[in-house]
Amino acid sequence: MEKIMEVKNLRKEFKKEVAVENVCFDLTPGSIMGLLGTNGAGKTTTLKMITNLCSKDKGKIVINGVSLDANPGLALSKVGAALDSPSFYEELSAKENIEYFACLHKDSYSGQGMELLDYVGLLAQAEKKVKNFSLGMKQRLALARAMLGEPKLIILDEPANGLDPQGQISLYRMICDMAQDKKITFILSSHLLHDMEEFCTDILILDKGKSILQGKTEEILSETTNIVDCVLEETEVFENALPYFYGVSLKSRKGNQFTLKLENVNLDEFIKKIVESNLHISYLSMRKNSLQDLFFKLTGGLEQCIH
Amino acid sequence: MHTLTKLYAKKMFRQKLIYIFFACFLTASFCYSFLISSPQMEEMLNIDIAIVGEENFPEFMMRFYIGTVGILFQVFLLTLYICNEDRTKMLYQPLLHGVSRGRMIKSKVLVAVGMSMIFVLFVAIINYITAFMMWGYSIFEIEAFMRTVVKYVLSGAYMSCVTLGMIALCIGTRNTWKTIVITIIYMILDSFVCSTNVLFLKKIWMGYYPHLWMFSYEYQEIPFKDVIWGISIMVIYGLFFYRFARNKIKKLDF
Repeated sequence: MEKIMEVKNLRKEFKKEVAVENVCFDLTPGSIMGLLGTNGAGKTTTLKMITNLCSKDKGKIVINGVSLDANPGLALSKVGAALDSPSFYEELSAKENIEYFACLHKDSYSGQGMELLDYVGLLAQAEKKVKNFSLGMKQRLALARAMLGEPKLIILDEPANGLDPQGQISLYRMICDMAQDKKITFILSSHLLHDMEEFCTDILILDKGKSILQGKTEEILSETTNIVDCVLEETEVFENALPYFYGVSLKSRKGNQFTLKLENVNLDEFIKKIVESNLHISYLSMRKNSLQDLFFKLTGGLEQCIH
Repeated sequence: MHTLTKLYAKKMFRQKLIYIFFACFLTASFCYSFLISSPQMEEMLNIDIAIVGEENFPEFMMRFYIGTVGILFQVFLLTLYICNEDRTKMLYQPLLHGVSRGRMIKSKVLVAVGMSMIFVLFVAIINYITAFMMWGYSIFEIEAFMRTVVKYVLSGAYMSCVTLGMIALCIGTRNTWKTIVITIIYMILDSFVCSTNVLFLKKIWMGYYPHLWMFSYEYQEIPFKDVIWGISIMVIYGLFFYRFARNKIKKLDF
């Protein structure tokens, strides 16, 4: 399958401290990759290396078939990015800011800036100075700026920061539409795990600079642990038989209510085992793991918060 | 001209500091021309109006600009132009729109150096307007006029070189206050080197030449040999500063 981006063995050290190590991933056109990680996990550094704002110590980045080392100008010619907190010339209006950067794109036509402002819902505020903008409005303006020059890949660092819930949903929907209709690929770094789970097609989780999980969102969530709540009549028999159930472990018990953890075993296989053991289930429900559960499990997030 | 250079120039000339500074300089030039014309002030300031006035007034006023005032003004402006943009994450924005690092620094340097020369021209215009209003057509005495023009051109060359040094400092330190403090240290060192007896040190010191041109040869023609020496030293310093800034920005992690 055609790849818009390939990243191999990316490494970066800051004063002998490893910020990013051995990060690899690739993206196909129209995919949306969520880059997740705790603070200081190396998300922004990875994005800055991809956009050539930060040098890499090791690794290879190929964008649209062009190596970033060999020809950074050509490799980044169809890449739009909004990194760090959105920054603009505060004394200029939204229109002036967008036109300022539009001038730098040879293939942008006059009026593209206004079209983009309209697209992100800022047309009515086009003449307003950016210093009077809210953080959410600046985020939208940053997205419009990143879309200049019709990029094939857009990189957004925490794009939903400062947006209200409606704003967040409309931003992610906008991103999904662009990915589906225009086949634009997105890399989004965010801490909003629920939104990432809902809107991203791919996930990459970084922890202490290392990639600890990556793949298609659906596959990642279906492959991992599931939690089952069930009520059984033969409690003693079940408890004795449980050690012989492969991939099933007891999380908690309250009378005849069991909470079980299924690892690498699907629900059908579990039910089959119960039936084979002549046990009777009067209630059963499955809680699928969310990206948040997975994230905390992998990064030790909740334990870290508690300790 | 490259689009980025035009954009930088447009942005630079939107800085209110420039207009405030030149309004102040115009006022100062007027006030000074009046002050030195009064006999009491002439005595108090220990100057001879017959020497510093009329056709020599533009040269007399030039010293103020290239001595301290102009350098401080430039450093404040350049820290706004580079360090502040770096702090607010605006410096690297053109890089996200297909501009190379080399092109970016080239455009920055072109605008900053061009601006430093234009400012010298502004200073010349202000001083000539003041002198003309005060003493009339007598300020255009041909020999003095030509001599002053040469000195303004040389001052422009010196200010460009200082500007290149400031750009290198801004990129090297990436900090407003460090840049300002190092510039002040340079000015202190400059007065020390210019007053020292170590001839070799003077000869290789960039700031010695404007001192030589403006003070040692005040209201006189500068010997060609000294012009060439000064220009050569400034070209060497300028190239060094430019190469430093260019190499530094290519390796910079934003």
